[in-house]
Amino acid sequence: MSAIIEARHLTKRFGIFTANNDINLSVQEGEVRAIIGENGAGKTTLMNMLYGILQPTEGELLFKGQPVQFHSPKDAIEAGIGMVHQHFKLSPSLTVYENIVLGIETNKKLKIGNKEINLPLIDNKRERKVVEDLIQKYNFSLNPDDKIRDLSIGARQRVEILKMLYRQVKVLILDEPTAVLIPQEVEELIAKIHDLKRMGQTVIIITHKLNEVKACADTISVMRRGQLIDTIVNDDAATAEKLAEMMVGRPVLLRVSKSGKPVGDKPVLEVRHLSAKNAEGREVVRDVSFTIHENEILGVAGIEGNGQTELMYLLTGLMKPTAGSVKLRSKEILNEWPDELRRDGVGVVPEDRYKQGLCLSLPVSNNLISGYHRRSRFCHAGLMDYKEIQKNKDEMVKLYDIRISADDPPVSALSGGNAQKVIIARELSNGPEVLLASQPTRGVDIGATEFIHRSILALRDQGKAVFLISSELSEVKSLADRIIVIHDGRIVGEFDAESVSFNELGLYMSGAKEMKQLAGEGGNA
Amino acid sequence: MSDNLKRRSIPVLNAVIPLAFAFALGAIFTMIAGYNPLTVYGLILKTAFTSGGGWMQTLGFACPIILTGIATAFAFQSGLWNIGVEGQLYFGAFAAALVGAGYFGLDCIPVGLQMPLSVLAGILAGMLYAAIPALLKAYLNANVVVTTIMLNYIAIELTEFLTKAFFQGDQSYDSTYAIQETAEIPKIMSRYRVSYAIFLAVAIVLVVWFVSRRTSFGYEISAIGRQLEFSEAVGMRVRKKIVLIFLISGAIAGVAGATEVLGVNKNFMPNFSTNPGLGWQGYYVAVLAHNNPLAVLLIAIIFGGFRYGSIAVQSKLGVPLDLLNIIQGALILFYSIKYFHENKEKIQKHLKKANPAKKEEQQNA
Repeated sequence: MSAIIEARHLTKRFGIFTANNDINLSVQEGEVRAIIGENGAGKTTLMNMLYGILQPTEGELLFKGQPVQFHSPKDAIEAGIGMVHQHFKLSPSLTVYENIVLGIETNKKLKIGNKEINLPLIDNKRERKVVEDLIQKYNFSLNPDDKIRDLSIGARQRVEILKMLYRQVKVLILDEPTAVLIPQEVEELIAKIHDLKRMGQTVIIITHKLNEVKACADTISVMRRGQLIDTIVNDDAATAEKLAEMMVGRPVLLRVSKSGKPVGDKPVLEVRHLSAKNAEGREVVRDVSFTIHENEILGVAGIEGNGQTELMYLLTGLMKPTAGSVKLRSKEILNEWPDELRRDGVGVVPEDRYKQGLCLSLPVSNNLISGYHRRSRFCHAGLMDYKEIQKNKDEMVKLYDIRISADDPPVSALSGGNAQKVIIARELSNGPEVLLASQPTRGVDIGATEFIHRSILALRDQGKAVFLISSELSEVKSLADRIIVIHDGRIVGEFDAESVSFNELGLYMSGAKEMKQLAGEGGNA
Repeated sequence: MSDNLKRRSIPVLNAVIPLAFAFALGAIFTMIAGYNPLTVYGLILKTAFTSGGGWMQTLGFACPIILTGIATAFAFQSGLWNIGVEGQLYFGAFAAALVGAGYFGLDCIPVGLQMPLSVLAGILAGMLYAAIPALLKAYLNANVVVTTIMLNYIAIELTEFLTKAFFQGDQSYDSTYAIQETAEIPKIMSRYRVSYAIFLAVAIVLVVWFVSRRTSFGYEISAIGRQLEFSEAVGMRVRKKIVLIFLISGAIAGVAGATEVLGVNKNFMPNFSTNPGLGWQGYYVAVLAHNNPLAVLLIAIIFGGFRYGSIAVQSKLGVPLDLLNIIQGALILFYSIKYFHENKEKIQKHLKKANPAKKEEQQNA
């Protein structure tokens, strides 16, 4: 085997910031290579250079031993490198085969004697046939005539992969391919990657999910802070713990340790028959009921876009319901304003931290009080006590381990993890009865994730209730006491977090299974 | 240390360079018109800023600009682009003129109350007129820039129509009756333009400054101005605040109109706020001052001085007043370019963040 892609001393700088520093990478033909690293470690920058989206500042790129320069993805595809992005680039109203050939359509030909003349008409029949053959060759379960908008996320991803295979790429780069998939689809994808490998395809997979790496990679390259730390063979010695340590640079506790304190029996938050329509009039939350008790974390599992965002909006006072009730310790809070909710003891960690959780251009100190800024500690008779606000910041920075470079920088200068800690500090320090948290560790580095998980569990152990929405199924499963599954705006299943399997959850998340009788009404049964 | 000095000097440079460019451009036009720019600029500065009397006139011209400037800046710092101060000023002036002149039998108001009630009428009129774009923004999310600019034209034409149709005073003038002498805001010295309204203007600047800096309302304003969605999510009741901020801005614009009528013009004359209108000058001032109340005060005084100086130059040398408009326009134009970046590191950091941030955004999409 020889190197199909080789990077020599590849460096990418944005101004003075070095995103990739002196990367030496050599991918062998026919192998599955995983590139792992935390958010911001430089994985995507590196791939974007291989794919021609970015041009290296220094260093050179070799493809099959020849130096190459890609000025755009088109160059890369022509050379034989294809990439499937985390977010698909498909046209929903076109069919599978139309999407696959989009951009390099086959024209109808007119034969005159020996000569063939291209007509400005698309030869749909032939295109369809070629794609059908391709689907059969790679054994992808797809129908060439289905419209993209009718396909599941997993099937769309297969279309994206076929799109690249149709262009006969030798190297397939997959950027965070499992981020949007349910467990069953992840398994299917891993099987497909094995198939592709058998057929001689080289695959590079970028991810931060270690068990998936373990399941499909031959070799693993670890990136950390713009540097390629090491490349190792995926054998028994390469444990998840070891890989995590390489990614972070220190030992990491991968498993969350729970206290084992039993769930209380007093209900804290009771949601009943909650429904809401979105701006287009579609019912996005449908008759949702659940109860969270003292000392309990209720996790919500579901594929993104199944009503989680709207449910969170309803509970945090940002959206009007069409029906239902929400009681916090038997007080009705459904139609309260966000400031009233906070006063009543509802802590909020919003899904979109940079839009709703933080004011980027305001300093950390000011962000640490927003929503609580009229409390008597910070505000007397309408006048702000900026001394106290600074004091509060100093306390919070210490207590919640918020790493800041200057004394009181704007939040925009903080890393994702530290920015999230600002929100966690603000919401937890104001003594919530219930914490509503959505995607609390998305885009957050492993160290901060650990810290946030510990904080949430500590709150639970203080007798509080936690409502946790996360697209990381493993996060929901490891933190929550009980899991409800949401599909198409409805709660379709309820499980004990300890005993339910990922596969079982996946079946409910995809809508394939549904519980007839939910325990939700009565509590945790 | 020298780094610190460099950083501090950058905003100053960013303000001085456009100033120099604007005056250079003005100089070119002055030369084209056949005058020596040095003489012209020298005379403007000398008349406006070197004698006690000059200062009195300067402050007189500055007074309404301070008010329109602070009205604009107050809305702008909340991210509400109220370009409608001109219109709100017109209605403020109109209402104050009617009450001050004793229309609708209001001449029965006791002497001591005439002036304050006239100012109050101006305030209310300015607020009411600002309520239109405020409600449109808060409840229908109408683009404030569009609504306020259009409402300016309506205000100017409507007050003209109303004046000519219903409230025309002396038939030889297209204006309302003069206000009662007892409703006037007295001048500090009868020879000079400046009235006691200047103290009110300065007081309003200080109050706005204090409110923005120290109160919880000010804290909310700064958050709303920076990030609306965030402010809503943490419970700042943004709609209500938008309306409130607009009303306050309109009220200050109303004061500007009222004091101009009661202290200087003595009646309401259509199109009294001459081109470029006092509201527009306030807009320039707010932009140049970065919405900082104290900077508004300073820059408005400079603007007032140039206005007065230009009038003097026009009468003495015959240089048209339009020259000032060119300089002011050029000033804004050159100002909109950032010559030096305040902090190179900051930009790098943004670049550094650009990637994960983008990813985050896509994930949420």
